[in-house]
Amino acid sequence: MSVESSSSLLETRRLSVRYGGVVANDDVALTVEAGEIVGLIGPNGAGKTTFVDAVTGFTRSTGEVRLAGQRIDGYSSHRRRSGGMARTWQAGELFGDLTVAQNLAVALQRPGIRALLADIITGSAPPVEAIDTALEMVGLADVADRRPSELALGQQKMVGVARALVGGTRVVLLDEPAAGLDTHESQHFGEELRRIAAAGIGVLLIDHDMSLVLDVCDRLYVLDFGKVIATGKPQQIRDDPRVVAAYLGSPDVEPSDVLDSQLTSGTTSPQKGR
Amino acid sequence: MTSTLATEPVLTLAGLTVGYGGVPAVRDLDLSVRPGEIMALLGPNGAGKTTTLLAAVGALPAIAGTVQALGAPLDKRVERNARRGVTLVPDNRGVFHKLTVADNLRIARRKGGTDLADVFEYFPKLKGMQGQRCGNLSGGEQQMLALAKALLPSPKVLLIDELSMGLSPIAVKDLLPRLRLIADEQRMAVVLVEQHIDLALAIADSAMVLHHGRVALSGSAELLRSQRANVEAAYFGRVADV
Amino acid sequence: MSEFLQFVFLGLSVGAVYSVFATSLVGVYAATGIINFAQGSIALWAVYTVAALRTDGTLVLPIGDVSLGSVASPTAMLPAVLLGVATAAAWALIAHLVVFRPLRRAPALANVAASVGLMLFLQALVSLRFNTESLAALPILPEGTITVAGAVVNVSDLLMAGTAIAVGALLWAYFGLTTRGVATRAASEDELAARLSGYAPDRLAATVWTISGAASGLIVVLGAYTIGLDPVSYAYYVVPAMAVALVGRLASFAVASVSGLVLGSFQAVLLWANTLDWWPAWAQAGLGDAMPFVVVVVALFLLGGKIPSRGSLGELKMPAVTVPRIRPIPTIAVVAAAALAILLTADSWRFGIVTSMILSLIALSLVLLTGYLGQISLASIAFAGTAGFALSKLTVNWGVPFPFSIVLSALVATALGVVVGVPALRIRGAQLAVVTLAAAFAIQNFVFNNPALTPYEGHQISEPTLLGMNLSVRRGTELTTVAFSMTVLVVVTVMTLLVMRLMAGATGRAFLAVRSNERAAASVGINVAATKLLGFALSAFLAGVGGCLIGYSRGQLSAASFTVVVGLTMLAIAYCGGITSVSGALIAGFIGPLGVFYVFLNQTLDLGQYYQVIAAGGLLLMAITNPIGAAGANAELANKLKTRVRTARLARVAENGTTSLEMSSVKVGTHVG
Repeated sequence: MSVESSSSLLETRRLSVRYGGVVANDDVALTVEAGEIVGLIGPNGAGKTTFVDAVTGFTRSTGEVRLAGQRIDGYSSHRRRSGGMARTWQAGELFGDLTVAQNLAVALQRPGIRALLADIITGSAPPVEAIDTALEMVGLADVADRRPSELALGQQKMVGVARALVGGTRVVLLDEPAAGLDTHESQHFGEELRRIAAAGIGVLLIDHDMSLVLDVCDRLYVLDFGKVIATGKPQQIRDDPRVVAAYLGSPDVEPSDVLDSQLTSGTTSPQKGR
Repeated sequence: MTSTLATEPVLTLAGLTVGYGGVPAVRDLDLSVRPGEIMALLGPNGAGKTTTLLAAVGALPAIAGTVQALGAPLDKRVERNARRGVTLVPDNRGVFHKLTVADNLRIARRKGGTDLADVFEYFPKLKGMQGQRCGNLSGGEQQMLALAKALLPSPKVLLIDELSMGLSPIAVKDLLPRLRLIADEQRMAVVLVEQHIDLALAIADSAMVLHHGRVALSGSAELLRSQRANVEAAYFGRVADV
Repeated sequence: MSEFLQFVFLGLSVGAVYSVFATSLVGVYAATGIINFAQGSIALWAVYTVAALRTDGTLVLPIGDVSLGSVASPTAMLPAVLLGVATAAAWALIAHLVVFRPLRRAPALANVAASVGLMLFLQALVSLRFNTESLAALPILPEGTITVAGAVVNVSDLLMAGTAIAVGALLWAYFGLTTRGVATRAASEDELAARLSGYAPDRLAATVWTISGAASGLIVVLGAYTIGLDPVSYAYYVVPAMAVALVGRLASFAVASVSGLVLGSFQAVLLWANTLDWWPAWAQAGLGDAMPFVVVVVALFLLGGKIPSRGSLGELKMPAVTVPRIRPIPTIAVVAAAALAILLTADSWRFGIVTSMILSLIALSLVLLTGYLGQISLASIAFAGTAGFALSKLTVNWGVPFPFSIVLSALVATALGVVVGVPALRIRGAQLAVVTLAAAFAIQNFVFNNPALTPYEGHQISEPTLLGMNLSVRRGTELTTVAFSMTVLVVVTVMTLLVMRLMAGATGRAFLAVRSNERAAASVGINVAATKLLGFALSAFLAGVGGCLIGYSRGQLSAASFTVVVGLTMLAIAYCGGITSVSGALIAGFIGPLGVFYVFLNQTLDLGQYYQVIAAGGLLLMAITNPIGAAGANAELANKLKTRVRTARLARVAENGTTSLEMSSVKVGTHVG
């Protein structure tokens, strides 16, 4: 394991993921610096979640993943988390049997023999202060004792974000955290993200809320068919025709083009007498 | 394009509110399609398109409002609706990866449905692939199989979720015109959820853009083509307004 | 060599039963995703039906019977066989319609509990409804022999094997060649897509259940004369059948069918090996019964590959958990009530109370492992038994004194618990239940029932003493002493309180996190594998303490206290009582085998013989009506009430006018915004 000086907080090199014959991520190179918010966007099925899975150790990949210069691609996912790399999930994936505060507590107190003895001898109460700080950061301090199922989807996702931030997190990968938030909430979330980054945490943000992404990110990567097709500042990306095409289909297509193509393909004109 | 739209709708959603666990994802939606009509249902992720389609085949119960299909209220059971001629190609395509192409097609056949030979005329490529396991097919081929499977029982209403997801633009350009042809020839009503809005609008008769579970724009496909900036705004949120 | 061959062929009859059970299991799994523990019990009913018909022409029904003949003219062979097979098919169909279809969205645990309940229920019902003492199986297949390479081979064994292969081939053909069969496979891959093609998965499943029931019934009916007839063994043939079904990844009829035959032959060859001089004494009994576990482990770890899981629409969650808080007053009240009960009773009633307390500790081990950590284990009773046997060795051979004897013995069980827990790192749900059942079965037959490991005078246990006090269970004519009962109360109370502290602490939270979402647990830094092993270790320790107390309560240990049936009953009852709560464990102890409820049935109502049917039937009813368990049902109710109160409060806010509503929405807005 080599540690390089002047290395990025999070860096992937030639990261590829294959499912059977399908290449879900293709040689993705990406960096996130401390204190930076980096956006990862792309149409449905472009491989964004796969990328997060690969970086955090939830799917097999080839290539390098480095955290502060140290290679971690061989590590199990729980070890990557202990090393300071956290993530959230698209579906929230909170622990439904635990309260909001307990959801954060499990990220702070790992099970084991030591925890076992502490449970019996001291009772190991959850570290309230750290939990409250994290919940306040996402504006959910007043629901600490609720079950996740009692919260709105947007709030559940914010709990997920808070859970990812506790316990010495250095870089956090957020998978569609703003889906389910209304416009107002997502603006507020953007401000929270800036505050999180200002504390020196590196943030990788995946989201479909383009206004949020364009607004809050320092840099953007655009994925399509598993490949990075563009990278740059938000404004550059917004004006990049390749990006618009990836999202909406190519705007230069005329209706007649499409209908003509059936004639040229020559296979699709069954003769029917109906 | 179909010219005779003056028939009765075969699928009508009226005041439909539907969602998950009592939480609405789509609110107060009105929608109707007629035989031979292709309607493009558009909107960004999470707008409620898939939810709408699932409700229209009976896979999700309505919280409020009604769904009428082929002149009668929708049955609670998806399989009953499918047998009556209302079916869906779901966003995972609904093909069975562990079965061969032939077996996929075999279980889709119905008495009084379309002949396999006729379906192969729309998708000739499938004919030579019948022995292959569906899981080994490319995305485009799987989507052809999905459509072929859906066409075999001759549905009156066909709903298609994300026809082009994961497909290359070339494959999409190939598939969409075939869909137009099928809708015309079989007098089938189609509701098409599609990411490639320009391609979708190019073959559709009518279109509707959903945003946060409500109708943001709706009208003829021609109208929406002319208002492309507005459609784009619905996708990119408030940035386009600036 | 010819002798060896002879045993190979001799094993074919039993192998044929494994084979057909296994292919039936594969079929049911393919159609429904359910691993049916009751497959053997269903066949058991068929074989006794035929035996009764052939003896005196009586068609025995679950309630009442129909006379179709007399002792002088019993039912003819063919109609008797057909009727028997039809009853098995009917039971299978009923199982689908009444038990499993209502549970199709229920968590795996509910399905395991229900299917185990059905297994025990049918088995108990057979014992009650049929005259199992005197009924015998008559030959159906021809009795001749032929000689193959010097070995004398029964024609019936060959016919059994042929039938098994034919059944396997028919099932394969149904799933592979018929449209309905193909659609059934399709529905198991993607239920919604199958519905969209117009198929009702429930109806497809009903067909498969019926076929599988008939096939299982047929093979046992044909083989009963050769294999023998008793009301227990066929029910447990499902264990080796599950093992070979796993070899075929619960997907391949051919592999399951052939492996079943091979396993049967292999077990027979092990019997032959006993006649060899060099064959070790310890391997002379039970090795064949340990084979299913070996097969399962090999299938899961060496063969690799994934067992297909079934994609279904929206699954219910496991029963909700309330983290226990130790409140002094209720705790003291319960302990005081128990102490009072001990003092006010004597002999068999007091023994019932003591047994109930011990069982609640074993149930608590299940609450921790299954309720909290979500790992379904059917091996708890084997952990308890292991500790009991260790206790015998430790106290008699090495003179280890109480209470260290308990701690050390429980640690032996802990080690075993970790070993049995290893498969849990690869599999979950019902498949884990199968592995743990195979393990329990192996331990029961290879360790507990192994004469080579049993001393001549039985497994004696030295009387416990503490600081000169005699704590032994019997003194003179007193069947259950107060001193022993109080000792049990103290041990159980201390262990329960310790467990409650664990559950309320970081360990309990981590367990619940793993239970509700393994991926998410890993993503917050929990080592899921280590946590699961910790759960197995703790659970085995608790069960081990329980096993030691059972040992002390009997003075001498017998394998009968730790049979697989007891283990299955414990899981079922713990599920019934409420698998996610400490109070559930107490309830389970109360209704567990030989506990207070049993004494009540036996002494007061004189219905002891109905205990298993009542317990299993009650469990089935519970499982079907409350798929998330009794404690779950209570929690649901509490939640509903809470929501109602909250809605009422909201309504009141609304009545106070729109301004206050706007106020509150602004408030919501600001705390997010």
